[in-house]
Parts: sequence; structure tokens; C-alpha cells
Amino acid sequence: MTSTPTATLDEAMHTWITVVQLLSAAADRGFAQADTAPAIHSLALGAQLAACGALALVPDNLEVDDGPPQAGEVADLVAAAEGLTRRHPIDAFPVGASGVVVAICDLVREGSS
Amino acid sequence: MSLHEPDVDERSVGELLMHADLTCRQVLADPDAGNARALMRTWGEMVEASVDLWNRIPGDQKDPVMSRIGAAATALHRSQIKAGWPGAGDTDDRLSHAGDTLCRAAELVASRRPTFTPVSGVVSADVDAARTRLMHTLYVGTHGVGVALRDYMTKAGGHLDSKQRLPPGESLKQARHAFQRLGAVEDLARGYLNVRWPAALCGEYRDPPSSTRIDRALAQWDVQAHRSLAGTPTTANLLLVAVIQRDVAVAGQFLTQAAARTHAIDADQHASRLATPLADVEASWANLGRHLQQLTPRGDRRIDPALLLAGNELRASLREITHHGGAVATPDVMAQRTDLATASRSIQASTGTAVELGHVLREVVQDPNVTVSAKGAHALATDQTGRHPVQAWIDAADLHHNRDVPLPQVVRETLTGAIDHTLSANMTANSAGTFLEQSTPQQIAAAASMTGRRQQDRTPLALAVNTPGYGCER
Repeated sequence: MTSTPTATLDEAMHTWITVVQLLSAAADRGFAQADTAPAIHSLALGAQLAACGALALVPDNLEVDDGPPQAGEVADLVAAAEGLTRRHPIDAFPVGASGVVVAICDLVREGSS
Repeated sequence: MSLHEPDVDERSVGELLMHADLTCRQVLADPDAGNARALMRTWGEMVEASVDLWNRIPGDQKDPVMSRIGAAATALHRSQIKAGWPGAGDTDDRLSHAGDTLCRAAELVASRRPTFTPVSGVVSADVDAARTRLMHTLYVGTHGVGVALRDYMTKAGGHLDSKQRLPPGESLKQARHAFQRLGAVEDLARGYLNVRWPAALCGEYRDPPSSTRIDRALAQWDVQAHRSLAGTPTTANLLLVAVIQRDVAVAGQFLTQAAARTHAIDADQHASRLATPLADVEASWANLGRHLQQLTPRGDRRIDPALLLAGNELRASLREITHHGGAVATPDVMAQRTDLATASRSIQASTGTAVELGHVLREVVQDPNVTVSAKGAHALATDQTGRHPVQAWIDAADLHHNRDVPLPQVVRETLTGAIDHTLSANMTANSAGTFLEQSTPQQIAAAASMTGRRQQDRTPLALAVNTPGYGCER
């Protein structure tokens, strides 16, 4: 893997943490909505699994909070997370990010169809 | 991903193409400047294999793009032989493996290629998807080589600036030429894919879902959940167990409803006995999940990787039957995908294993050594006792620093109550689903219409209920 300037890495990690927050928010919203619309549960679970996969790539010494309140439906939040992953080249994100990005893209497809 | 294959390769052309595509994605995901020359040595072979497979795929080839890519690769190869760069040496295992995989696909196509040219609409769509997948493989692989080459040029440029010369065998000039020519090939591939990727992949033929996948995924999940809760009983792992179990219950309702509507199971029994208990199971896991969500701040949801893997597989195995895009599939579509009676029995069996899992959850919650984050415990305790409790459940300093604290009693009681509810709901659903083991009236009628003896004549005589069995107390 090529070396990446520290500033870029920090920005990329900051973006990555926002991705975790958006996916977690999508999951929590979906779980709440599934009480009346069970079909959404699978997408919410997918968001939760992707969030856990993304969080696993964040170093333990970095604190991840709940982030600001997010508006929008589950699919919107997942799409927003996917949009954030395009802000930086894939090699600026932590090693293993490509698998999570692919999982998020799959979720976008599941949510939009 | 393992590069090793079984001795007998039973993969289809589609699976081989997918494998080659994923292998090339690895090259792109992990470009290595130190490996750039090896990649350049191997790239031509992969292009050659791609051109060979492209030419063997049946159907009209109106777009000459692959011929142009093949010609460009041959010309680049000639130039490199003349220039002596990248020279002799190692090849790249991943790109070489992708090339071998494409060669295997080409052999398969050649052995099965029909002698007639016209193909049906379905086959034509599959052919288009195969060409698109192949071009994407080449595109990603070429881009990966280009990224590695760019890094190589950066390093070589730095080396040249500092020492005024390059080590023997290295060449910045040749690398630049190769980079430009790879860029041209990439442009050709991108032009082809722009109007096709990913829409053309919709026509890709897929084998129907494996009938045993749900059973296998449920079993793997059950085992892994036990292991993870025994090894790392964190609230994050508890939360994932609860939400996955809820997903099984949700999918179970979809599957059994579809089974009832398509008469794969007894519709009356389903409506009168099973539907409500399954809904209760789902509601009970949802309730437990809500409590655990409060207890586990989003930043603390670090999951055992093996549990995550098992959860992903279980979700995928259920979703491929129950969903069509973002919506629930119709009962008829689900029936086409799997044997709904068998799937319903799998779901009913899962309520039995969920009882055992519920007991494990209960033991974890009852363990006095279990700790949780102070913020999470405070959130749940406050929710349960009101904003102004008589007694502070969490020490203010622990809360400020969000330290791990022992489970407060009010939180323990709340969780225990929620788990007990899941236990009773699952036991009820498990009992209610016993009718799934019996034949439906339609199946009995079908069996009766068969030639030979009627079904009841073939059934062994049952022992009288009040007769003690061999070796039992009398």
C-alpha cells in the first residue's frame, strides 16, 4: 500500500467515522420502523452489519460518538454513507475498507429497488 | 480469498468470471509499487486470456473493442521486449491467477459452444452479462496495474532526484510509456462499460438458491453465537444476537405466510396456531433489542468478527428467499426459489434453538462480572426509572469518563425480564409449529391417489398410547 499524507489520512478517517455514524443511525431508524413495516428490518440489519464492519476498521484509540441527529429514511442514510465513501480514494481509508464499501453499495441497491 | 482451487473445478463460466473479477479487485485494492514490474509482466497474459474467452463466447461481436485492446497489448509487449523493461523476473500471482481462471472459462465455453449461431433471449442476456463482466475484470485489473505503476513512477522519480540514477533494470521512461498505453486500454474498456455496467449484469444466469443454505446458515449462526457469548459477552454482541434473531423471526413470518398461501403448509393451522406466536417471537426480540440499543452507544458496537460473518451469511440466506429488491417477494416467487414447507420447518426448528440461546443470554446478564458502558447503563436506567430517580444508578465520574461499570440492578432486571419474554415466546412458537412436521391435506390426498396401497396402509402401526415401551417403567 502506498503511503498517504497524514492530513489526508486524518480527513479520510474522519469521513470514515461519519460513515459509521450514518450507518448506525440508518440501522436504529430501520429497527424502530420495522415495528410497523417489517420489510425494512432486513435493510436495517444490513446497515447494522455494515456499521459494525466499518467500526472494526477504526482504531481503538479513536472515540466514535453517536454523531449529530440525522434526518431521512433508512435508504437515504445508507445512500448518504455511500456518497461519503467517494470523497477520498479507497487507499486513503483503513485497510479492509473496500469490503465495507462494496457492502454499502449492495445496501444502496437493496434500498433503492 | 484463497487462490487455491479444488482438484476438480466444478465452477460454471459465470462463477469463474466472478472469481476473476474479484481477484482483479484485490489487485486494485492493494496496489504495490514494489510489484509494478511483476504486474506489467503478467498483464499481457491476462489480456490474452480475456481476448481468447471473448472470441469464444457465442453471439455477434459487433463491438471490436476487445480486438483493439488485444492489439494494444501485443504492441506494448513488443515494445517492452525491445526496451528490456520490465525484463525477466517474477510474475504477479493474483493477476496470473485471474488469467488462468479466464483460460479455464474459455475451455468450458469452447467445450459447450453450440454449433448454431442464433441464441434465445435469455441466453443472449447471459452472453451480454458475461462480456460485460469480462470487460469489467480487464478494466479493474488494468486500472490496478496502472495505480501500482503510478506509485512506481513516483518512487523512481524520487530516487532519480536524490541519487541522479536508478538501480539497474529500473526505467522511469519505460514506466511512463507503459502507463500511458495502459491508460489508453483503460479508456477503451471504460467506453464499453459506460453504457453497460451494471445494467447488463441483470441478465446473468444465476443458479437457484441452495435449499440447504438456510439450515446451514442457521446452524453456523447458532454455534457462533454460543462461542462469541462464551468468549466475549459484550453488550454489542448481545445486541447483534437480538437483532439477528429478530430478523430470523421476521423472515420466518414471511416464509410461513407464503407457505400457507401456496398450500405448502396447512393454511388453517398456520392462521389459527402459528401466526400469532411467531409475531410474539419477533416482538419479544425487538423489545430486547431496543433495551440493548440503549445500553450500547453506537461507538461501542464492536462485534466479534466471526459473529459478524455468521450474521451476514444468515441475513443473506434469508434475504435471497424472502426479498425482491427492497420489497418482500410474492409467495409465488418465494415458492419458486425454495421448498417453503422445508423452509418453514427450518424456522420452526430455529425457535427451539433460540430457547437455548435465550438461556445463554440470561446467564450472561446474570453474571455479576459483566460490565457495560456507563453512558449506556445510564440511558437505560433513566428510561426505566424516570428522569429523577431517588437513587443514582451510575457514579457521576464513571458517567463523565464513560467507564465500564457493573450492570446496575435495574438494568439487569429489565434485561432479564425481556429475555424471559423471548424464552416463553419461542417455546410457545416451537410448540405451535409442531403441525409443520405433519403432511398437509393436499399432500395426503396426493399420496392417496398414487397407485398401490393407500398411505395409511403403508404407515407402520403405532403403539397404543397406554402401552409401556420396551425397557420403560411399568
